[in-house]
Amino acid sequence: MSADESQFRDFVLHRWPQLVRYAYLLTGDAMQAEDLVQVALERSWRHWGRIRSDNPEAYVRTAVARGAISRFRARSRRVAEAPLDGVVADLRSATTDGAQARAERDAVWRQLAALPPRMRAVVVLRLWEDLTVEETARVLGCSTGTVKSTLSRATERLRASADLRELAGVRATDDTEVTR
Amino acid sequence: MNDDDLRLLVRDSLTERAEALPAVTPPWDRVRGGMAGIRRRRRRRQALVGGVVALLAVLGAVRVDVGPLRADRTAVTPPDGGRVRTSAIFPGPTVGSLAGDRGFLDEVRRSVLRTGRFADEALPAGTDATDVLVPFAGDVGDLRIVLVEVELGTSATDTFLWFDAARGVPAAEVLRNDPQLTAAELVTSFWLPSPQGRAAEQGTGALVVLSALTGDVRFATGPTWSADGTPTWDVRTLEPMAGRHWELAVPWTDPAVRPGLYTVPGDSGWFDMYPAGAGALPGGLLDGMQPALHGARPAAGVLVARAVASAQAASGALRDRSTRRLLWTGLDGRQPLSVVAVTVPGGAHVVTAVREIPETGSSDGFAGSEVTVAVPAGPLERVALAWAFEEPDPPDGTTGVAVLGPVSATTVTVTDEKGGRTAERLVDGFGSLRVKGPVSVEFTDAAGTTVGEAAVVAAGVPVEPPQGG
Repeated sequence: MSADESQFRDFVLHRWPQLVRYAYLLTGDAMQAEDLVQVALERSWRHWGRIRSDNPEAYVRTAVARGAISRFRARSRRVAEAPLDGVVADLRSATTDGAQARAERDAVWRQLAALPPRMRAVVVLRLWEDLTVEETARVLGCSTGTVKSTLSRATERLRASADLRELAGVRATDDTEVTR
Repeated sequence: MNDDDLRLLVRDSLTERAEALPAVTPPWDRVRGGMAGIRRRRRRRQALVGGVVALLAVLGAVRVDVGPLRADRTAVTPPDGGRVRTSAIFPGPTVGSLAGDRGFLDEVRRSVLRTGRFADEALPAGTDATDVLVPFAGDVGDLRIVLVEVELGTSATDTFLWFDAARGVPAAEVLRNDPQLTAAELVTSFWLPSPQGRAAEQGTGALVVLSALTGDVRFATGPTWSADGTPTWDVRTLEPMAGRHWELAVPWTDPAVRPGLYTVPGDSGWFDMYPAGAGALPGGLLDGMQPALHGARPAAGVLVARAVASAQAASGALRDRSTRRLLWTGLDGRQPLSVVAVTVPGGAHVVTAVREIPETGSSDGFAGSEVTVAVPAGPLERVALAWAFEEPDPPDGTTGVAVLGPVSATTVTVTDEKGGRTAERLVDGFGSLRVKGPVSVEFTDAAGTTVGEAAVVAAGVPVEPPQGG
């Protein structure tokens, strides 16, 4: 095996789980995530000679993020988002703190799935990857202003979602009862 | 729920989902096989887009569409009863200047068998010399190049390795060097600027292309610039050699400038001939450079050096046939920006503006974007520029415009597509503002006299030949 391929293989085998999880958060689909990572790796291998000494992971992650956006766009033309029936009911039936916390996280996950692709990507990059505004802009190929405004709109949409409003109501009620 | 609570909740939700995903690293062979499949799909798409009708026949011959590119080999039994195999993808005898050197080819095969390994995998039991295929062997430029193909049995595809060494060395020595892996693609190409693999101040690199597809290999050099700043590329179609392969010895004299670009059959895009280790800056880029024309900041530091390297590469002009001048360097908002002019033979100026985005994840600490503009021959003091960096999703529909005016300019006025005008004071000739639909700019001096005009350039001039050209 050449030094290049050995280095590339080590990179792939070492970083595979993290890359797939990252792609999964961007797409919400495990199968698509693996496929997306494969495509990004294939692209990276073609340019390995150029990127190996720079920051190959950043290159791959950028390819994954941009691929996720374009795939989501392609998919969204064919598949309508499914309604979130039953989510609020699940929240109301959550009685323990642990169950409610879990229900909250599930509700957020479902709301994230309903966000437009670029908006979802900004959320993942900023809030989970902890990238700076500038880093997020570079990964997605947009301006820093776009990142800021997109994250702001995403936050508003999440907050405005019906199930999370219900959830906040449940929490407020619980708080009131504890106070009494 | 305030913003912090909500964002914390989002983070927890994402973390929970990520940790719950059973992302098990697959065996390397599966990853490689998957990548080979992606390459095949990509190649097919490219070929179809390119309208290569004859491709269908070729694909049928190697059965790409009916499964992996596994050895659908030609097996011939010569009179002496021994097996003779040829490559599934590149059938026919070995090509290249060493194709007729039986002793060299035998030594290549023996060298592979002697190690018992290929691409860091053990050779399957029973592998003999006839299983080690050599689609290409030859001397090109200063290099001796050998392409070896082996079916390892652990992969859905054959494995190809390009080996290289200095021209003329024995086969065993060539095979001793680290090879470059290539997948079982219908087209494979090899480019190296020197036997050491690095950009060299002198010498002749080598380009080799093997193709199972019909089509041409084109090689482009340039650009050269007219006095009014119009680029011209020298594009020529290489003559194929026996066995549908192409060879070209490529002179390499300046590591700051790529020696050319090339296309391969089934792909209309240009492959850039990056020097190995392209991330490193060529030495001496800032030697003798004067301080910036605007603001007199010194031409020093890695940021300026990167801008000079970008401008020189975009110009296509050799360093010893061109001159460089830093026009401006400083901050555009919070992002470092440098504008460098390379004056090329004929007097035109190729001006490249490089905007860096500081980041912590990169080993060299920076990434960024750039725009190149060609300016007709004339004094640099009168150069008037206005450009918009690539910004696919601009906020509020506005476009960020950066301007650099003539030395005497103090104010810029931007005219938008509706005829609206926005004025901005310049600092050391430079200004940066956001405008909806910017079209052109006008520079005026302290007395209000117009001293320069320019169109707002978005994409800049091409730094590679047009596709299909």
